[in-house]
Parts: sequence; C-alpha cells; structure tokens
Amino acid sequence: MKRMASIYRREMASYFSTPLAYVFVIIFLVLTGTFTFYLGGFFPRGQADLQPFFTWHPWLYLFLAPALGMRLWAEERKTGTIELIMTLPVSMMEAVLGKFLAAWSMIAISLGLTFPIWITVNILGRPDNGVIAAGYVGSLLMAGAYLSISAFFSALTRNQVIAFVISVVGCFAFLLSGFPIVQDFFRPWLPSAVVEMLGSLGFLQHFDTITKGILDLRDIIYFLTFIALWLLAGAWAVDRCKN
Amino acid sequence: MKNRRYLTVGGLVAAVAIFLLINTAGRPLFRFARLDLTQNKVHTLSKGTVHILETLQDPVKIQLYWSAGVAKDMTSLKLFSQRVLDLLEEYSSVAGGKLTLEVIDPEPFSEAEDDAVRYGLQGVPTGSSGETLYFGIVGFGKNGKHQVIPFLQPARESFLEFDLSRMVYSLDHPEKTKVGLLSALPLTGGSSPRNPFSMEPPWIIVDQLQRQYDLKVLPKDEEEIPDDIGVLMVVYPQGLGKRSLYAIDQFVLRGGHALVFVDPMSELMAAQGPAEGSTSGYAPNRLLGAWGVKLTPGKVVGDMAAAQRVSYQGRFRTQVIDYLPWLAVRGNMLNRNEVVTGQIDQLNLASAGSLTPTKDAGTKFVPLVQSTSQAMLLDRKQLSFPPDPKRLIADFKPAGKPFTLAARISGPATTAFPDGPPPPEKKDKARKEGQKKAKEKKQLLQSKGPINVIVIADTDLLQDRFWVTIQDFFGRRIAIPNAGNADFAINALDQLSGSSDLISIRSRGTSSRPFTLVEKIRREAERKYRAKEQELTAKLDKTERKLNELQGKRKDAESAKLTPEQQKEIDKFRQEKVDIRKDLRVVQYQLRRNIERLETMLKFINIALVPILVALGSIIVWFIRRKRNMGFPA
Repeated sequence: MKRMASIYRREMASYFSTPLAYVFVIIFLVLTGTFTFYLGGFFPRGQADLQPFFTWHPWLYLFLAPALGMRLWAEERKTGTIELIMTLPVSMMEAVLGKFLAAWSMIAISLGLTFPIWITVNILGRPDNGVIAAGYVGSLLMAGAYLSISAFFSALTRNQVIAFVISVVGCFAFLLSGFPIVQDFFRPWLPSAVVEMLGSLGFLQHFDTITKGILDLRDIIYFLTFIALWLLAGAWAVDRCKN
Repeated sequence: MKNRRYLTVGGLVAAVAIFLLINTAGRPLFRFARLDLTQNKVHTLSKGTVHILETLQDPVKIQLYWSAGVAKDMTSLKLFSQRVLDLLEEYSSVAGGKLTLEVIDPEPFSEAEDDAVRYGLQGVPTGSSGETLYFGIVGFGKNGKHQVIPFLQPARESFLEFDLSRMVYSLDHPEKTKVGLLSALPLTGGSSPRNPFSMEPPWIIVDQLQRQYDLKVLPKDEEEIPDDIGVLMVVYPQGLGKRSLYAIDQFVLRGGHALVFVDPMSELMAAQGPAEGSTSGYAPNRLLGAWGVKLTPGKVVGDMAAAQRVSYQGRFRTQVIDYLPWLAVRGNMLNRNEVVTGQIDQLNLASAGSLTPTKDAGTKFVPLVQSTSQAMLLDRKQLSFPPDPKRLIADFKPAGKPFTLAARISGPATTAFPDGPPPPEKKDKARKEGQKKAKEKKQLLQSKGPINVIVIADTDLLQDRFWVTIQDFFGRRIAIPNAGNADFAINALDQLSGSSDLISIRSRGTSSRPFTLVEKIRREAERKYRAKEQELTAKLDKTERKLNELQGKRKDAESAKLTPEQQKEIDKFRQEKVDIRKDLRVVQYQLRRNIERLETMLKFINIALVPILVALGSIIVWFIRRKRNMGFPA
C-alpha cells in the first residue's frame, strides 16, 4: 500500500510540475461548461437539474480520458523510465494501480472544480441534490472505466498518439455497445445471446441508471470490475513488453 | 518487481470470465441492493404499495407479455422493460408469495400470442419485418378475474408504480366504489354545442374515473340519488335544477359523501355565450351555505405569483404573458398535510373562485388549495371575451392574503331547503313516478351525522386542455398528464370513499423543478414595466385619435392636399407616435434584459471563471518555481 502511494505521489507530482494538469483541468472545465450551456441548452430549458451537464460526460470522457491515459505507460516506455519502475520493489499491480489512481484523481479534481454549476442550479431553483450527487458518482465511475481502457492501450505502445487513437476507438466501442450500430456489427458472426450480453456491458446503460438517482450495487460492481479487469490487462501488457 | 505469476494469458482469460460471470449471471444476486438518492424516493416502493402488497388477501398472478425477440434492436424500450421487470420482481418479493410473476414472450404465431390478443393487449407492428411487439400486463385475481394494461408506455414511466399498484389493488378488491356523476357540463361527451351533427368524445377525466370506480352517470335532472352510490361527484351545480339540488342536499344529509365542483365562471360555458353560467338563478351558494361555505359570487381569483404564461395576440405583436386567472398551483399552495393534496405536484386551475366559511358555520373548514398572498379578486366581467391580460396586470393590486380555492368540509349541517322540497317542474310529466318516490321519502332537516364534502371552486380543471396531452399511439388515445388535476379529483374521491393506500403512491411523476429565481425576476420586471407600457399605449391611442380628428375636421376632407398648418400638426403627431412606439420597444426589450444578463453572467461563471482562476494559479506556481530555479520543463 505504501509503495503504491509513493507511485501515486510521484505521478501526481509529475502532473503538476508540468503545465499538463492545468491544461487538462482548463480544457475539461471549458468543455463541460460550453456543452452544458450551448449544446445542452441549460438556461432556456429552465429546469433546475443537471441533466444537460451530465448528458455530455460520456462523450467528453471519450476524448479527455484517453488524452490523460495515453501517457501513463507510453511515455515511460519512450523515455525508458519504465526500466526504473521495474527495478523498484513494487508489485506490478501496485504500479499500475498507483498510476491509474493518480490519473483518476486528476479527473476527480476537474469534476470537483465544476462546483459552480451545482451552486448555480441551487440558486436558480430547488434541484434534487440527491440526483446530482448520484450523477457525480456515476460520472466519476464512468471516467475510471474510460481511463482503465486508455491505461491498457498506453501500455501496449510507446507512441502516445497511437495509444490515444486506439483508446478512443476502444472507449467508443464500449460507449456504443448498447446501440444497434455495434450490435449489428457483431450479430452476423456471434450468437444473439452473446450480442445481448455485449449490449448490457456498455457504459451508457449503467451511467443512465445512476444519473437518475439510483445507486444500484449492480452498476457499481459493473464499473469496479470493469476497471479491475482492464487494469489487470494493463499490468499484463506492461509485463509483456518488459519481457 | 515481484509476484507476476498471474499475469499470463490464461490469467487474463480467467479474469474476463469472472468479470462476465459477475456482470451477467451474478446480477440477480445484487438485485435489491440499491440506494435511492432522489429527494422523493422516486425509485423506492412507496409505503402505500408496500401496504397493499403486504395485506393481499388472495393470491394475485401477474403475467408480463414482452416480445423480447422482436424488440432486440430497441435499446430504450429494452431498458424500460428491464425497469418494469425489476419493479415487478420487487413487488413479488414484498408480497411474499402472494404475488406470482410470469414473463411470457409472445412469439409470432404462438399460443402465447393468441392469449395476448385474447386479453386485449395491444400489438404494435415494428420495423421493416412488420413483426408485432407486445409489452403489456395481465393480472389475475380470484375467480379468474383479470385486469389488463394493454401497453406499457415509456412516457408513463413515472406513473408505473401507481399503474401497477392500482392493478394489484383492484384485483384484490374487485368490488369498485360506486361513484355517481351528476354534471351540468358535458363531461361524458355527446353532441357538440357548436355543431349538433358532430359528437364530442368524453373528457379524459371520465375515462380515468371509469378505470378506478364503478362510475354511474346520473341524468342532469336527477331527482333522487340512488342509495347504492358511495360517493357523489357534482359538477357545476349552477346548471342543475332545483329538484336536483334538493336531491344532493338530502344525499349529503343522509351521510353520503360528495365531491362538488362549483365555479364563479366556467370557461367552457362562458365561451358559449355571456348569458351562460347563471342559468338557473340558483347560485351554488344556496347549497354551500347549508354546509357553512360561501363562494364569493361573480369574482375570480387572479394570482400574480402563480399565473400561467399564455400566448396573447397583442396590439403590435403576439406576446407571451402572464394571465392572472389561470393558475399553476404548486408547492405550499397545496395543503401538504392533507392526503388529497399532499403528493400533488401541480394543479392547473382556470378562473377559480374564492371559498370562505360562513359566519355561523357549524362545520369544520379545512383549506386544501390556496392562492398565494400575491392575489386579488377579479370581477367576472373583466374576463369577458376577449380578456385583456395586460390590463389585468396593470390593474393588479395584491390583497395581501391568500384565497381558498378548494376545501374539505366536515361536521353537522342543516338542509338548504328549510321550506320543504321545491315543487316539481310542471312540464315534466314523464318524471311523475320519481316525484311520488321523492314524496314518500321524508325530508331530512338535519344531517344524521357529520357530513363529508370536498368543495372545489373551479370546474375548468376537469377539462382536458388544462391538464393533459393526448397522443395518438397507433390509433389509441394515450393520455399524458402535465398536471395532477385528475389525481386531485381521484384522491378526493378516494378519501371520500375511504381507500387511502393508493393516495400515497399517486402523482410522483410530474416533478417539474423550474428556475424559480428566473421566474421571480421575470415577474418583477413584468410588473414594473407593464404599467408603464399600459400608460404608453393609452398615449398612443390618444395621439392616433387626435390625428384622425384633425383629418376629419377638414371641410374638404376628400382632398388629399393638406394645408401647411395641418401638415405641421400631423408631422408633429406622427413624430410623437414614432417616439412612443420606440419607447414601447425599449420597454419590451427591458423585460428580457435582466434575464439575459443573468444568463450571460452564469455562462461566464460556469465556463470561464474557474478556468481563469486555474490558469492564474498555474502562473503563480510557475513564478514561484522559477524563483527557485525549478521552472516547467520545456
């Protein structure tokens, strides 16, 4: 645990010693705000809830999470610092988890800094703050899922651009997997039960339930096991490249 | 690096398998472990449902017909079906074996499909293949009695629990309350007053009542309320004859419960002609007075804080404007301690009246619906067609106290006909037999016990256009309420008939949470500027009149030529007119400006403010680091 914390601290320090963290937070905030007010029509809609805010999160993370995740391992591989990590007395899981948690914290910080929208909606009307709290939890869990995919693909290559592009494609598949477009793609060559199952494994369905204000154990388990699975795959990928 | 033995392809495959197992087969295990974070616990079974389920007397069987195969491409419907299934499973677990659940996929040309058709489920043709989709529920109670929800509409998702609970309840209590409907308004449809050759459909409210109760429509000239009527619903007693009013009076004194809708001005009747609405001369006050209530005659409640926005064809352009007599009743205007109104989100009233207890009333008067204190009594005549919403706002002077729009009345009462029953109408010979009966029954002068009556000072709330949107769904009329008017009427009937479990479930659906601040700003701005606008319009009228006068005064009025003097006058007036119009435009612009300013400010705060602060922070950090010779690496 201690060793994981040191990896986490090292990673966080590297975010804030470069403009990266600030640029990420600023882009995140500007995009969420713009999407909420312009695409989501927050003000003309006249309803005191954060639906126009959360609706866009799956699409925002589609690009922002890979942007954050692409450097997790690809950079270490490119600069060769991955060798350094390998020599440290930490387990592979600890290293993977520490790095992942640092990146996840960045998103948590960005999400936390959207608090003015929460204040705004409370000044404008009387929103259901329970639903809003659930929305934040759901958004953070979903961001973790996106990040874990990105972390895996980042471990596969030393080129950050490639890591980014593949991550976006991978995330996109899971975002859309409940939609007919993805199901139709699989239907010709997979049994329909498997296609159904793939559909239920997409992000949106679980995120939607949470943003309605229901913290269902099934959805939380889904996101947590999803993250765990991809982190494990990430660890495997890091380990493989080392060999 | 240590312990990496599990990081093999085999390990990964195992992990994927575990993941799939947990998230597919394992899902039912965690079914009921969830936290409902919504304020009103929208996703948790309400107490009423739990009580209904726990006290089920006989086993109930629920069959869910769901064409899972046909719906494989319909993501949102699939999600909704999952929600329905989850809810039904929860019902079944709460009922502890008394409620069994069966999910049936009525595949095309199967026996199950025949059953679906037999029970009256609605099949919907889908997509290119034209397969029929079923998504409905059949519930069976004792003696094979069944109830059907023909199609579960996703649009009615927020009423899902109520619909299901009502079905379960009515299966367990097959004997419905008998509700008598005595109305002077055409609630049940029939020939149109405007065009005698066309037939009007019944109002949606009647349909809703019929689902819930054994509704018996009594003729308008009913002289004796049958004894088996549990609750009597009276609409617009002004339009009823004396003998009918007497029958109501006696019914209530006998201990019958009544829900009475009176109205100082029925929009429906007023639209048919100004003389309508005061036909019989028997004001409702005769009846109400006996119960210790008074309806302020000829006065309608206008409320600035609860007024609805209407589109109004103004002098220069169509405007959206507050119309004082049309009320959107929300929040604390509804008595939250009463079961009838406790759960209602919104009630739409149109030109409602004010109820007050009479001075010598022996009954208890509990207000159910009240206006805000930003309200006043408007004269009925001010609303005669066409009404001028702008003038109403300009003349608005708040009374500073709320008016009661609906009330529950209980306690001892006396008859409204102390001089005996009114004489029968002469021309009505066919009713002779009925008269005999009425004579046989001795008149009650005092109530046998305490009376139970709910009085609502509006009839327009029952009209479809004030509370419901009707969608045509493959030839079937689907009613989607946008206000709880029907819930209100049904709650009242339920309370009067004594079943209170269903009340706690109802009407959690229409949970509109408007921007109250924006509405407040808008109302303040509107009040401030509307008076000024009125003043300016008057000035403009005067100027125009003067201009016309000047034209008319000329002896050679036909001549197009103007004397220089007249020309000068006219030019002056025209200039004034242009100026005033400009002022009016400014006034109208100002109406919107405050809100636009607020929007711009909020956009700035939410899009730019924090990013700017973060950027500033990063620059400060950078400076500090540079001082320490630790600048950002390039």
